[in-house]
Amino acid sequence: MNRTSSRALPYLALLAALLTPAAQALAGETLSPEKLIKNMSTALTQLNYDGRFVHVRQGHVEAMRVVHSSDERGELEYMLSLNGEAREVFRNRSLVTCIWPDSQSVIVSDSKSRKILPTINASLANSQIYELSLASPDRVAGRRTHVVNIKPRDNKRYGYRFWIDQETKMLLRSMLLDNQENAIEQVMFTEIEYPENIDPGVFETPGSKIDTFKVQKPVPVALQASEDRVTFDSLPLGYEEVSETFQPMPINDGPISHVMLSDGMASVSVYVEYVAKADQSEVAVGVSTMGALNAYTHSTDHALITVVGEVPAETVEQIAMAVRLIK
Amino acid sequence: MTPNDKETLSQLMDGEWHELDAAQCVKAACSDQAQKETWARYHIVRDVIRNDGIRVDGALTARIHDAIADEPSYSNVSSIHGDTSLNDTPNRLQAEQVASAPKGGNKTQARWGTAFGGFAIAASVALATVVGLNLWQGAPDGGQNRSALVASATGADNNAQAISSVQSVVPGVAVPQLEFVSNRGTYWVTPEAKRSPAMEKRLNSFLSQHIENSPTAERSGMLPYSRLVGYDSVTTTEQ
Repeated sequence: MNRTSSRALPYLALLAALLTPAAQALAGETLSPEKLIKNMSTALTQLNYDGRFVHVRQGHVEAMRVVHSSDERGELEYMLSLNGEAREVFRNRSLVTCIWPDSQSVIVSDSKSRKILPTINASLANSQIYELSLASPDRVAGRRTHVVNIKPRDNKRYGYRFWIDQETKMLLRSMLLDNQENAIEQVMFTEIEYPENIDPGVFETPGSKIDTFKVQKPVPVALQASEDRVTFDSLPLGYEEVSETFQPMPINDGPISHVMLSDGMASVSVYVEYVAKADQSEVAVGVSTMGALNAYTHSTDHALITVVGEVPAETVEQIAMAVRLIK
Repeated sequence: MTPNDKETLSQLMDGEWHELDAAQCVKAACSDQAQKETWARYHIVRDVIRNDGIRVDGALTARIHDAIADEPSYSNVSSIHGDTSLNDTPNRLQAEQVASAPKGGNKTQARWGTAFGGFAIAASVALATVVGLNLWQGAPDGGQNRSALVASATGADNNAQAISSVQSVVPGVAVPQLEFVSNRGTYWVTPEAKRSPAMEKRLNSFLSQHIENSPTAERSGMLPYSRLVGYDSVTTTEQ
């Protein structure tokens, strides 16, 4: 080794050290996985963005476009499938409209302002259920990203890996990982722009186009919140009840109890339909799966209990079997 | 057996007789042990793909078992902790040796590559065959109802058994448990029931409500509505 190269070694080592996340933190930017995740959540709801991304699950690839706008009045979102059936979701300040043109079906539900949703205050750092860490920076859709790993400490939930835009904190790529760390679902932007203004016409539901479709509309009944009708014998570690409502849904004549559980990262919904056994014949009980999503329907003499969430199948089943009805 | 022989057998399997001297090809295949075995394997693979019943010979199951036992575990993502020890199976190391071989390597390296390529093909054929064997031999009546079992697993309504696991023991050979995955679309898969618009609409309605009310929809990383936009809806009730 000559003298010039040996003199360069300390500088190269210093450069390498500066590129590590820890060094970036020392340089002034406090990089913590937890903070990055919170910033990412904020960016997803508060930024204007127009991008194309791929969604991969079970070896099935979908290309989609998403347009998102946000101001003090709330969020607007439009999502379109770019291959196959031109499925669309319009989300404005009052409604969410999902359109499947081939089957001419539409689901319309109330949209909720993020402001009225329960806030998850649980700290993810030093959590008993997840281990957070930073990986080496990467590049997605031509933009530099931080990479955050979230590894579960048990098999009751999935792991995550996020690629977060270093400049805007927007989520540019994410993986949902099973217990063997295989990616079971992925989303990755291939291009993204952050326009200052977006034409509001993009978010307008094509009313005339869906007039002839079969539409499931929300039932306009005042929300009966905080009515405690459902409790649980025991929940998997870390899952806590976040909210409970008792309200009508388009799929059912009577009101349904909806309990939201969360462990701080994953959310699980528990639905209780109060229908007698004789009226449950059309419903498939047991587990249903779609990519990383699992649902478990449990039949009792007086109710159908369905648990839905992006958690392993055994978790939705365990939660469904733990449900106890108070009323 | 040369690559041309395999191509000829493949053409025979596909019914592309007009391009061949069929009589000569059959005669050649019958007189060559390697071609006969390949011909038999092709038929088993075809039977599995078509969900037809298959014949089992003990030597084949033993070879399948050997091939599966050597199959490396692999992942399409790197370990969160960068721990690669789980992936360092002998076959993976062998693959890395082949991959890292310099261009214009010697004949030994070329043989390694050929051998590994052959192994990969054999393993994939073996996997398809084992699924068929499990379905056939796993039937509680010894196989009499295998047609119904196969039809429900992979037929027009292929979701019914898609997430169930199939396991049985071939006499004399322990066969590893296989996850039977045949869900080609993105839709709800329910082992106990066929797809129906009513069932899917019910679950999607719950899913929509779940997404909209989830306090962690943004935190959990997926663009929440991409799951609904990517949904392959069913247009009619399947019988």
